[in-house]
Amino acid sequence: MNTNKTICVVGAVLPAMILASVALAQQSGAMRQSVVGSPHDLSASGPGRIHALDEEQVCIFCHAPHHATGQFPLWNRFMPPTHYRIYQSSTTDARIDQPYGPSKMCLSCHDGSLALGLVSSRPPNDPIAMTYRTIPPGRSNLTRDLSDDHPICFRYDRALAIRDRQLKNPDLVTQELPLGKHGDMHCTTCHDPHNNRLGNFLREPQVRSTLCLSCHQMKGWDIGAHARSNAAVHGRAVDPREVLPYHTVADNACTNCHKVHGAEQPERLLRFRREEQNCLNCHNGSVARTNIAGEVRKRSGHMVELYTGIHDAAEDPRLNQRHVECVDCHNPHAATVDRPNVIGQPSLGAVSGATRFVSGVDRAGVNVENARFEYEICFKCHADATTRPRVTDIPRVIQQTNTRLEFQTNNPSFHPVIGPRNNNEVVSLIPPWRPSSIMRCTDCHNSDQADNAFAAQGPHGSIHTPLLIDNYSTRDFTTESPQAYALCYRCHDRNSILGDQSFPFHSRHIVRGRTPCSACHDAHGISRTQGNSTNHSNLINFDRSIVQPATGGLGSRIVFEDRGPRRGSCTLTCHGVVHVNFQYGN
Amino acid sequence: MQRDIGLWGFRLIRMNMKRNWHIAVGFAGMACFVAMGAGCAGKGPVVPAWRAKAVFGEDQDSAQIEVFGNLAQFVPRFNPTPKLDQFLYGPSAPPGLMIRNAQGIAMLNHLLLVCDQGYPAVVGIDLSTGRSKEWQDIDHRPRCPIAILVGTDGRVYVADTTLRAVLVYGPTGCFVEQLAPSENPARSFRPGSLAMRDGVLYIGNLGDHRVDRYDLASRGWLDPLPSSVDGPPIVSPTGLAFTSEGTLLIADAVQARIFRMGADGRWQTPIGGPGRLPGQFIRPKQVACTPSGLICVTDAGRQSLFVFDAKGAYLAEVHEREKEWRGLTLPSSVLALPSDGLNMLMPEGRPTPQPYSAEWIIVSDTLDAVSLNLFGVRLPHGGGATRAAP
Amino acid sequence: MKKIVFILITMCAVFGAGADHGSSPERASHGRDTVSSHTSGVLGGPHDFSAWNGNACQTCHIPHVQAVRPVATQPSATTQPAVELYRIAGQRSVFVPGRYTPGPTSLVCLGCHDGTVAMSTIGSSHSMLAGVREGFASSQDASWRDHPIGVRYPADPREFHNEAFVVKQGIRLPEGRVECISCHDPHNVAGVKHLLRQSNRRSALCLSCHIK
Repeated sequence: MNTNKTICVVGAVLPAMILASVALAQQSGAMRQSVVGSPHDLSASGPGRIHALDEEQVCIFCHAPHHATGQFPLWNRFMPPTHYRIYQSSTTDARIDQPYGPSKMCLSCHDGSLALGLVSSRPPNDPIAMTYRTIPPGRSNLTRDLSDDHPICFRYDRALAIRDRQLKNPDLVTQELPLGKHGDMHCTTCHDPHNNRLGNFLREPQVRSTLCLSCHQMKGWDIGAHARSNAAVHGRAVDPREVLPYHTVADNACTNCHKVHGAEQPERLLRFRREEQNCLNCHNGSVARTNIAGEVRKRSGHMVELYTGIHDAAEDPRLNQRHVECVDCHNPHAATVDRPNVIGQPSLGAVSGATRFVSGVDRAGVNVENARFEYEICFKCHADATTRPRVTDIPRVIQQTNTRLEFQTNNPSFHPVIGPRNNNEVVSLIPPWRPSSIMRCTDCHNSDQADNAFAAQGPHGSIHTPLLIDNYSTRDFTTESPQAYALCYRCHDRNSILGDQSFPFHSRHIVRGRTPCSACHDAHGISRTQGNSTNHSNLINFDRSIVQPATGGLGSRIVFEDRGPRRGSCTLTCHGVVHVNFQYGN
Repeated sequence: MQRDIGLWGFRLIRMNMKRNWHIAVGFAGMACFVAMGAGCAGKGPVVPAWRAKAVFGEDQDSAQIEVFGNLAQFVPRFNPTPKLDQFLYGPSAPPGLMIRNAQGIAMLNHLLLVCDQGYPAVVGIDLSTGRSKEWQDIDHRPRCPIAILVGTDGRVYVADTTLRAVLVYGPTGCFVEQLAPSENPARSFRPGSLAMRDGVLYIGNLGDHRVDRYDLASRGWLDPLPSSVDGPPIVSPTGLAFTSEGTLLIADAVQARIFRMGADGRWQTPIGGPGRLPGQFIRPKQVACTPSGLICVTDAGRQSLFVFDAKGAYLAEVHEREKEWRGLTLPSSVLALPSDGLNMLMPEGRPTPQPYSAEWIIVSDTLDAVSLNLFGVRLPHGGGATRAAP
Repeated sequence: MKKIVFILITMCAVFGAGADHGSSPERASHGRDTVSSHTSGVLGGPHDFSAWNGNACQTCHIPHVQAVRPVATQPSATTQPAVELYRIAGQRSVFVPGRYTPGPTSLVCLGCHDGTVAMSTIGSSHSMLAGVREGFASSQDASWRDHPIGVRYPADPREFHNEAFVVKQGIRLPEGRVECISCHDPHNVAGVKHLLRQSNRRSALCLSCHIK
């Protein structure tokens, strides 16, 4: 019994002791791993495939106690007389120089130009014999083109952090990442050539991009979906075979989309040259739950795959060449899944979590850095942009393609996107919609699967043109049905409309006359600059392909006159019927 | 300059907070000196103190050596010229032209040529203006310049022990040629010292332990010394010089002797020998002969400058003297100049040294912060040389 | 005079033959690192000047003046005073910080190893060096061709091993400073290439101090 107890005690204590000792060993071992035995051990006993044939010293490939080159710290290699292609980006605020100082020392091997065994402490005609003369092509050979690598040799000072607010104040960067003599960034800022404890000779762990985030403080990153997603990075669309360092999106963090060295798209170091591939690689239903790749290929959609090389993060949205990319509406650093748009519910129109921290154009036409309202993102391209879509499907009496003007709250009539309506005349609304509600562009323009909680939401693509959440027939002689005008009936009660509660002849026009809603109504609104509250209230803006002018009184014209709530008159010809000053209402 | 001094002061304050106060005090002295110089530069010409710090040599009737100290102090307008504060190891001096490890020195007109092994280059200091620059052709830098000689043919010869050749430059510093015996398959030729007489260049060959001779007229190598079996075995001829009578002096650093070969080719009694007694050497590096016949020897082992008379009798050992002079650290080369040899340092209106120095000796120091030391030779009345007013 | 010769011969015996026993076999066992013939000790090594001087020691060890003076009590050759008698020809006995130069033992080496008699290592002993290392100027400004000497052994536990530990490894730090004899053994006791104190196979000597 006593023995058993002892065994129990031993059994309990021993694992604890082992665990403790292992933990201790890890802690002490975590401090440093010797350069001896690391990939930088190029001696004849070194572990890598690149090593010397008979030289047994380890340090001598870079440092020499005597007859070094004279460069600190006892540098034993010659500087490559190379001109490098350096990193360029439209959004960088740093002034990047040709490599110098310690970076150039690293490049004396890693640009693949100088012989590995050529050292100052030995005569030039007797270099150290190596298995490879120069560094072979591969990941460690950066070549002379450094434009696809993280920039080095720029001054990282407070001024830079002020210019680029997504960089930390260098005073707050951890001491583990040393800057150069003049506060400049070098290879040695991220890499410790002597210590391969973390792999790749990194100074800070790569998991969750601790290293990158030591300097970069991307707006909204901390609570962003990409920083927190535990989705496994398997089944990617573009590079399914490339092994990412970690299992989940959150652990890979920056590495999901960026490559610090050898990026396919040099500017902003993106993994793929085609912008959307960086997103659709995962957002194809494999890593990410929803299949955006399928959405953008639908009949009507924001077809991001049609454009390559046009988008520039520094562009002015109002002046750029026409294009659409994922990052025009999304900020992948900040996007969250926390605050989705609830389709068909009134809201304040604020941006969703997926579109956090995206630039926009506000209701006054001014560029804003962070869009607060969803329409501000849409206005980037669909408002004052010179290259906005200008061809309308429906020829109307008043033509307007600038949606910003269509939705202004002082317009004669408008759908309440920018602000609530100024009257309470809408009787057909289905609760919770009320005349004073605010709606969003995505209440109408959304995926046809938007109501499916497991499908992709948002205006990526739809089978209904133009990118509508539901069917909306605009053809003349459309037979009325719940499907024909399903878009309108989402909010406007079909029974109310067909019951002629607002306009006494709705039923006659829609059901008997088989006239589409769009024949009389312009869904977005009528700009104050073009229409007036008498002729263009109630979104009246006739479809010229259906409605013809009528001759009478003041000549040939198409005109609607508002004569108070649910009262008005029309002068027009439609389906062969001529209204001249035809009045309705009491 | 003023801003530099401010920085310097700041650094001093920082230093004083550390434990190494003695160094701080040392540098403080230097900084005060620089500040004083700068202050003077603002007001008017610098007036160096032509006062000997110490006098060596016991006998009033024979030559005495007076110590003037750092040569840089006496170079006119050295403070206004930004480059010469490098000469002084100024605090903000960029690396480039400050003299790091002075080895061989030679005078070419008003230019003092200094073999800087630390750079490595031949630095030319214009003693009349105080400006210094890399003198030789930058495409033909020496690798390890040890000795320099301004030949009677106007060319400048630089012995380089790493390149194992004597580099020949024109009077303006342009590279002319490289001298090395071609029939030396082992490449053991290591020139360490140079002397010239009668159109023959004498090269102390440290690798082959002999003195090579090169005839400049026929451009051919002559028999090396010692040619006869009765000659003394030379191990490392680190210094070569000719007396005015034509006696070749060979300083041997390993054997700690100065061998002498007369103009007639006969070997005479060597000067000195290993030991710590007066007149004995530990590591004699260079030898020079003053116009009046004095033999000056720098000894890196004893950290001193030895002076012998023309016959080889010991006169004085110039070394550290407490409170008077800090002494030499690793003296390398010695250059003897006639009494008018430094006239460019004493233009009109400048006070002349008192008492007059009849001859000048400049000693380069490989390791000390004071790279170039200036000594005067005080000759007795009616001595071999006339006392010349500069 | 006879006495001196006797002492010299004894000293040579100590450094030449006796050193063989003192060397640890595992250090000298690596064939690549040893000098061509498995010699250790001064005689036969690179510092054997006996062929020139007839005396292997006297090139560096020069007797003090007292040695030739008649002394009442003659010290025995094997006792400490005799060794003191032949103390290296250092000019000063201690490091003088104000001089910004390497220590006295290194000055002996540099007397020859300045590019004249032997290969130049003067780059390590730049006169600015001590001042630089004490914090006056950036060490990156100066041109270093050789490992610094005359500098205080750094007390940086991240980059350098503890001083006591280093000394225990066989690295000599006279007056707590790095000098030539920290890495090199002029008497060639270990018989390792370049007169190192121990083999530098896999940079073991470098890593005795540097934590890399």
